[in-house]
Amino acid sequence: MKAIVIDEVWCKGCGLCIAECNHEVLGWSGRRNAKGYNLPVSIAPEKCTGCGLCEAICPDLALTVKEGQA
Amino acid sequence: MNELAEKYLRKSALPTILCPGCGDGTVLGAFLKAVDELGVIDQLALVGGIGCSGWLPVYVNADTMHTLHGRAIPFATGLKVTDPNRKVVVFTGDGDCLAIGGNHFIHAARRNIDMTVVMLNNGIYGMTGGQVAPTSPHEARTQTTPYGNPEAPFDACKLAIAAGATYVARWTAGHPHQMARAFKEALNHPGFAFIEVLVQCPTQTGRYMKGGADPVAMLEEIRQSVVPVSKAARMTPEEMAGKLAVGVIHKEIRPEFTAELIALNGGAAR
Amino acid sequence: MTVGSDVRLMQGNEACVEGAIAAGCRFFAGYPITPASEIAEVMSQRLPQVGGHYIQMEDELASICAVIGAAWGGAKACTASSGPGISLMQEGIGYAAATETPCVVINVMRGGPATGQPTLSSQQDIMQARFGSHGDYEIIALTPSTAQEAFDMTVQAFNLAETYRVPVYVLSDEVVGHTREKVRLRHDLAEVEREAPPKEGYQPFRPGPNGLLPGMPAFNQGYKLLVDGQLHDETGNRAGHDPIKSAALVRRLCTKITDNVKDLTDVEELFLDDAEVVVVCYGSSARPALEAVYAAREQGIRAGIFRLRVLFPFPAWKLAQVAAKAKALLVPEMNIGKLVIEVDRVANGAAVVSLPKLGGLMHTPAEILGAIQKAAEGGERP
Repeated sequence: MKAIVIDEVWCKGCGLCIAECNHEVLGWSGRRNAKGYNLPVSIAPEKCTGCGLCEAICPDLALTVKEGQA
Repeated sequence: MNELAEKYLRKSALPTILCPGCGDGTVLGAFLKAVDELGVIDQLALVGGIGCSGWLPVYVNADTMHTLHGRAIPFATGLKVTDPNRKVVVFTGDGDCLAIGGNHFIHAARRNIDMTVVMLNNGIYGMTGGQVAPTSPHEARTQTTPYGNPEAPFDACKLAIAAGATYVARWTAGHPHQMARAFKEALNHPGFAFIEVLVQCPTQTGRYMKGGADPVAMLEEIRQSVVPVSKAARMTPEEMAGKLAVGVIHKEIRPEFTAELIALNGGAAR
Repeated sequence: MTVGSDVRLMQGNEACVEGAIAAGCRFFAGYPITPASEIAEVMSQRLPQVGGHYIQMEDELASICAVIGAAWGGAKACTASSGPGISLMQEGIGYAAATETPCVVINVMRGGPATGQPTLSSQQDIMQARFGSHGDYEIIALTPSTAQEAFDMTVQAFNLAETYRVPVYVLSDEVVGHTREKVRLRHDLAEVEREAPPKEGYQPFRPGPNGLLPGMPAFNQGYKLLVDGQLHDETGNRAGHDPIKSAALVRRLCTKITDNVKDLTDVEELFLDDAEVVVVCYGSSARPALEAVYAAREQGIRAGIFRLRVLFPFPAWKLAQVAAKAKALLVPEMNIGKLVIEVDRVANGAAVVSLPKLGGLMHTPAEILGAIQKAAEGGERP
């Protein structure tokens, strides 16, 4: 089981992680951070294969793919 | 922030100046991955020009010089020659490298001086608000070509090869794993290594040339516009129109500047 | 011949190179330009002999940038050029000033403007040395009058660059650069050695109690330096958006020089105890001035010399003292009249006579003597 940890302070809500995932693990959370950026969230963590594309594509280095629960 | 960021970023310089969805950030992440895998952070001498791209070295907790527009490469030359063991990496943009910095770019390639030059190509002058650049497409509308760009763009990799660069690669911000691998190869390559990265600039290129600041759509369009170098070699010029090759485009070994300087002048020491 | 020194016949350009090497210079990046090319040529021969590096860059912009990179890379570094090349270097020199990079720029002045007179001398570029780059900053400029001084002052320039962490000009000119004279390659001039600052609690741009940055760090020594041309705080991080920090840095870049003008003053004074007519001179035009003053003294005229060896920061304080006792200050210079503007400011009641000379030829002693005689004949202090 993989967990996607999103740094809600650094995230700028660009959506690249959501688009990059080939397994639709991530989606919009409906929440914003203090700067007003829309935040993504892991909506289907059980589908995550740990490929790391979301972590690699994030321009703000705000995303980490971890082992275990979030 | 992720582990690489925790380990390698210069926290006092944050937050970054990068816009949401800017491809530059992806390049930074890929670079940190390469540096981490090679374990070379203490050997690095990072030099940035002026522009969004030039900020990337500032965000890395290494010895860093944020220099003048177009002149990162000569600053880097002084750093390299004074200690050839340094791993000198220049971060530059398409305007910084090919317009004002063009002369320094071609001479450093000709010298085959051992350094890595990463050119982030967003096809525009982003930091100053979206003016036309030497890589903007023909007929593109920008802040300084409101009626369309009358010029044709450079192919920076072809220029680098013609000038004498001995490692030339191109990737996009949509190829972070491949980019990281190319950075590792370039850092270990004994000579002038040039890596062009096509990056999405949602704020300027997006709004002025693509109808909107949508990083996802822009990155997808960039990915569609590139062809692996092996496939590109089999395509006709017509088929390649509007497309660029990605991958390692050129690689060779030939005498390197700093080594030659030392070898030829070494006998002079009294 | 004194034990421990070489005495050779050499032109000022070559003497600059020997002075640089004596001062510890081990990196030169430059581009050919008349009348400075000999500096590059001799550097290319001599630097490798002492374990240094010479690079001929693709232009002067690259040259000054490579010099700055080399300075942060750990070397004492310099470049040399003349008018057109020095113009190209201005952005880089400003960067060196803003980042407090020690380096030396040798300007073998020639006739300007533009391509001007490549093979003839001038002193037209003195204000360019002082104000050439954009922004507020201060540099130090030395003006040798002889080949010996080209040696001595190049050593001095490197030392000042290290102490004040600033680009220092050696404002030579085609006459000094190309005239062959006796030069003693002295070994008795102390070298200010580059000191690595301690790492504990180090803030690269925090001045010490004397207002100067202590030592000069190098890359890849564990400092994790951030050198930025943008206005920055004591860590090196950008502070251009902060009016208070920005003002503080720019002020310090200037006051670290201007506050120390007395320490930096280096003037040759001759016959000033009783001089009525003082010739304020510098560089090659001091040579005919000296001869004229000696001739005037033989005629019973109370003439004297105030020869600036450090041109900038301008020693207004010292000249004001001299001017207070003089009837007239004569300023011969191979330009339209540039230093005379500074002299005028501190004339303190003395008459100021500008003696400009254009065209590329030096003043003759007779020309200056004639002006001295005229000033001496004039009435009491106006």
